[in-house]
Amino acid sequence: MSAESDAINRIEQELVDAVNAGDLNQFLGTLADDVMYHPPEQPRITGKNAVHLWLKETFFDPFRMRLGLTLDELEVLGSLAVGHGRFALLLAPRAGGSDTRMTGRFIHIFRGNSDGSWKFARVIWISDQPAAGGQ
Amino acid sequence: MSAETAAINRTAKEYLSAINSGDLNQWLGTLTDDVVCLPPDQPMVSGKKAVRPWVKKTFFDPFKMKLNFSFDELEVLGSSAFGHGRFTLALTPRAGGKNAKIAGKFVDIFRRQSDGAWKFARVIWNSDKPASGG
Repeated sequence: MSAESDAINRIEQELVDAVNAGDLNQFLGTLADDVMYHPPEQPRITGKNAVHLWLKETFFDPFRMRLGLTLDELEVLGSLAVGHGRFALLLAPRAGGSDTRMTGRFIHIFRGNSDGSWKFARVIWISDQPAAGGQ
Repeated sequence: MSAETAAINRTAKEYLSAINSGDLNQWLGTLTDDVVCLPPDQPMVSGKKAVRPWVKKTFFDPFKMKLNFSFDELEVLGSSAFGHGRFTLALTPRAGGKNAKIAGKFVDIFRRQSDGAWKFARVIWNSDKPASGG
């Protein structure tokens, strides 16, 4: 595994850790300032400030989360890298109620920084289950 | 626009015209053999041989399609490129019935072939609205 792949895997793990700890600030630290989010069934969200508000309202405030994520493919292309893989997410409402489990696929585009770190630049994901299949 | 960007746009236009004319073979010609399609609310479809029956059954056989899309960003890095943008798709059932219209966004990864042509290698898209929005 190259140094770049190592660094990208570390940032993926940091994102997973941030989600599972409910630490929004740590999560935001993994994102490029000009990050673009392409969530399913919602319009695109552009820029870290807009993503911050959206994530807080949609995920971090209402839910405790348990995320697992696997990169099936990672290609480093100079200062940009492309990865795709699978995720499983458990959403437990903080206000009570039943949990939601979802599984899906993603493509992540990463950008390398001058200090050798990498950040998420473009993020898109989909559920791989029928829309009515939420548990 | 660079020569590479122009070539990718040509492939994208071919992909579009193949869908809009219902030409499955032309559409398959725009994909790499190891293409991976990541459609919403369905399992991943991997490899052109698997994509053919899936796309035939899911889109080309049951629907006449009208697709429009545009890139908001297209970046070439050596023999790979990534692009993202927005699309609209109208699905008209060949058997009759109500049209469905979908608006959404996509990320595509392209690979340059030995003849200089570019093909779709990884394709993911999702809707801007819940499926019940029609």
